[in-house]
Amino acid sequence: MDPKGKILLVDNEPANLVALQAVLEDMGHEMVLANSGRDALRHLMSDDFSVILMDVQMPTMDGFETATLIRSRERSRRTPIVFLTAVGRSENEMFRGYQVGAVDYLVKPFIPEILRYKVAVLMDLQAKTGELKAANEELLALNVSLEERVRARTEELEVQGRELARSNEELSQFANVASHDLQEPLRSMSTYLYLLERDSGAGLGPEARSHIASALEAAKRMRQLIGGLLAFSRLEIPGRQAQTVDCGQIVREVLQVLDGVIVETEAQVTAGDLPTVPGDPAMLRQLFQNLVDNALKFSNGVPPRVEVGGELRHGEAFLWVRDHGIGIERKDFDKIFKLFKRLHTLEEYPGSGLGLALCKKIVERHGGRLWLESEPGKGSTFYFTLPAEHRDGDGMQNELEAVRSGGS
Amino acid sequence: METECKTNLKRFGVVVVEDSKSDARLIVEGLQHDGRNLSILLLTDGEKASNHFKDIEEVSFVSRDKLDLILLDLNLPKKSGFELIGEIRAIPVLTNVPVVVFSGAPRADEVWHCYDLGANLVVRKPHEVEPFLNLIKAIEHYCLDVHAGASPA
Repeated sequence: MDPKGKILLVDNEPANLVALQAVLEDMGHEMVLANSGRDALRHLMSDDFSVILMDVQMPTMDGFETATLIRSRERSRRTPIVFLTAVGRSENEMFRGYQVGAVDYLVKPFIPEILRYKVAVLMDLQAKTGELKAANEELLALNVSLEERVRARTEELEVQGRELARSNEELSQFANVASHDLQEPLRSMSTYLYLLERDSGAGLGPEARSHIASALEAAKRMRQLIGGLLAFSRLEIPGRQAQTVDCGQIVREVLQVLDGVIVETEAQVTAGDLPTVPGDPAMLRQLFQNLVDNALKFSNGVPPRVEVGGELRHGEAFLWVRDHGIGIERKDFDKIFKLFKRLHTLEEYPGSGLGLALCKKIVERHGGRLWLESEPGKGSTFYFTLPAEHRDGDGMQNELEAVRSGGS
Repeated sequence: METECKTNLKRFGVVVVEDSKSDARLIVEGLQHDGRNLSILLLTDGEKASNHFKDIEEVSFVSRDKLDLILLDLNLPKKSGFELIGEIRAIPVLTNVPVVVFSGAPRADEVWHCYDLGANLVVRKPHEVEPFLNLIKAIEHYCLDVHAGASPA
């Protein structure tokens, strides 16, 4: 704040101007003198003042007229005007002064201290108003830039969202086409192998027939791999609206599907009370099925014991599938989640090498985490979390919300 | 390729439009499975098929072998299965012949478009040999035996 403001003194009597100047001199403000209303307006055209002290009675253009004109200009609309007038004037006149925009009214002859005091208060007020105005403008500018930033970021996210949707669409088409185009030659191979065996099988030796069988088996496996890859790539595509999924119900369905294996291996599978979560039922069924299937498969040659459990913990569903099978070495913990990565030969434990990669993807798609604890020879426990609350809107919307609340 | 089986008196005419040799082979295998007296004509691209259907239209007054079933691959060279369905349905003597469309991986909108054009059935080609053969047998059985419009043997 600059304490040294400018004061405009307006009076047609030079003696009055000199007297005013004398009173205010030692306050240290710059003073500009005007000997008529017209003169005052001329100064106001090129300069800004903190306070205007003006005589009411002036020839040609009196104080009221001048004040009206001062007020009509944007630049001086808020400059405080103090009227000075002679004794004996009516209250009417005073009232009119306030009407045209005076902030105060002083009767001559005035007491110097009072004049100085009033000028000081007005100067101070004006300075504070200026400060406030500046702060306000700064705030406004900040606001504008903030809004601009939020808008730019939102736009950026929307563009990204559209690009993502498009690339997902392309991915989905690609996966479909790839699957179709890969399956066709595979079917062709199988067809000719089938015809070879059917038409000439009887004339071939046992070794040649076993080769045909192996080739057919390989084609079948290739078909499964393509199918798995397709299923995996479909997980990249945004899912449908989440539904309320009872994990207990899902596990009961999965155990029914796996009933053959359970009976065959004399497995003992227990499932506790499981939480209900928002999610994609088909994906979660696949998740539980892969985990339970693994738990049954990687047994130690004894009837498998598998435990499926879960509870709500800190607002999320915490679930696990535990077995007492062969276990996994710590160094292989990361490997098992890789696409097509297998720790065992097909003869030891059949499988596509996709199961756990799919599981991890499914859990991550639901916004959860998947990990394991395991000890070779003792068994493994696969843990995973799933958010227990429905999220509003899609991920894109959430990200937008996060930016908004983080930015303000 | 023209194949005839002479075990039964009644002769059925079937046209197969398929560009994949092995798939065509499977379709013919499936059709011939039950030893029915069939006249199977295999056409390997859309243009050949189109010309054949036009020929049928021209000679339809001179009685030829009756056509009882058309099996059509959707993705064909030179002329697509979509175009063929439209052409078939525009030929008076072929209006009521069952048209079954095969496709590797049709999109839903493609499937409905086939039906709009007048296909009777649109099926996805099974990836494995046995299910493929079983599907052909089922289609043959439905269109030539069960379907009420089929001419009695």
